[in-house]
Amino acid sequence: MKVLVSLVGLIFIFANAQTMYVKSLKAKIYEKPNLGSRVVATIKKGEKVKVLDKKGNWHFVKYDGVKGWVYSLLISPDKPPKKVPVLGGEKESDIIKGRKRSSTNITAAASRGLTEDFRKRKKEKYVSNYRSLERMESIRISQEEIEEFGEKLK
Amino acid sequence: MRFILYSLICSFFISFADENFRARKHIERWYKVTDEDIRAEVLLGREVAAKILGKYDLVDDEALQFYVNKVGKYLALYSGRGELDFKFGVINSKEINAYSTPGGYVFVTIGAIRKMKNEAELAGVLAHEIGHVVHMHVIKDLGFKGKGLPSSSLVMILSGGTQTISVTFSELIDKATDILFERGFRKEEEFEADETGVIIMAMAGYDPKAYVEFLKRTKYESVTHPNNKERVKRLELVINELKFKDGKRMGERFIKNVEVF
Repeated sequence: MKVLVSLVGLIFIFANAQTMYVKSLKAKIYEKPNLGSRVVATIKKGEKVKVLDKKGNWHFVKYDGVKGWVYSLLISPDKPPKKVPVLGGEKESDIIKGRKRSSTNITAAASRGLTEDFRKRKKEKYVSNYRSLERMESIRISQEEIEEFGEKLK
Repeated sequence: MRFILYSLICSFFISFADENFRARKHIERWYKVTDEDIRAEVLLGREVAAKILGKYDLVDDEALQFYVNKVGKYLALYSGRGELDFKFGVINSKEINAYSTPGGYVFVTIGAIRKMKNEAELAGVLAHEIGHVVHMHVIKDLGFKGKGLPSSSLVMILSGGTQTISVTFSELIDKATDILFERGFRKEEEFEADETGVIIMAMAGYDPKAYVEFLKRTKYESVTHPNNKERVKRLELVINELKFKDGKRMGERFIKNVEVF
């Protein structure tokens, strides 16, 4: 009975192989479900794979004719979102606009009596250092430089 | 009919369950992520990062900051969070510690770097922090839970979409900073970040054993990173299970780039 149920399950899974997307910038496909096995392909964010099986935290996938195992952390059933714009200071980013919208709404909420504690607050618990934050954000490293940096690890 | 099919699938997986499969939380918790969710996460994380820098400023060494960013950004390629632009900073503190905030701001103390022997050890510490970001530990610890992405409720707060939530964004920032500076993550979250961290560093080509050696050598413990011995024990099990070999340590490149000894 157990074998029969498993067979039916197997047929069902293969007939309905799920499409998933790579959500990591890079994902290695391994011959076996462990990191010690051979890498059969390296795929990029947004690329589609067909899921054929699953074992623990690994998915057995098919990509461009190649079959292998990919770590579950790196794939998703949904198309991956675009990269979030970084606050660079050149022009007002979407995040800043979002913050302004939020501040407006929080102010509106305060007038509704929702932020009583906040209004009582005399000073912030922690000090912010935006100058250093912007310095940290200003460090830009191109994709090519990152790839080149990783070459030595191959 | 659907129930029967689901039952069949469950039976299939139960019957073929890997004997070595340990009872741990699965990392494949897929959420439908919207641009708003991610913006909210980055917005909160950025503010918390400013607080960290308010306490510990960046080390004034441009070359070191670039090098640590290269290691971190290379690791982030394999993090599973391709939508985030991870940022890394070396901060001025003698303590051996590291922090990360939602949205991908990662910090490591100069005290920790001084105790490192090679690039793989640095990669291990950074990858552990990336692990916290991947699993959204800060956001979950703030109490945002539910069916969807934890930061979805954060979006609701930021947009004033609910009248029942009486916390303000500023309070949230303080609470998130409290988690990092005072309360620390839960034990299970530390293990989860450790496990994800060694997987990320191994996929990137580093030797994950180097991270364990760093933990052992420094007895890396703090209010926010407790249970060193237990972590080491669990990490060794995970590394053994990964069957990873031939990882690199990059000692020479590390010494060349880190002139703080």
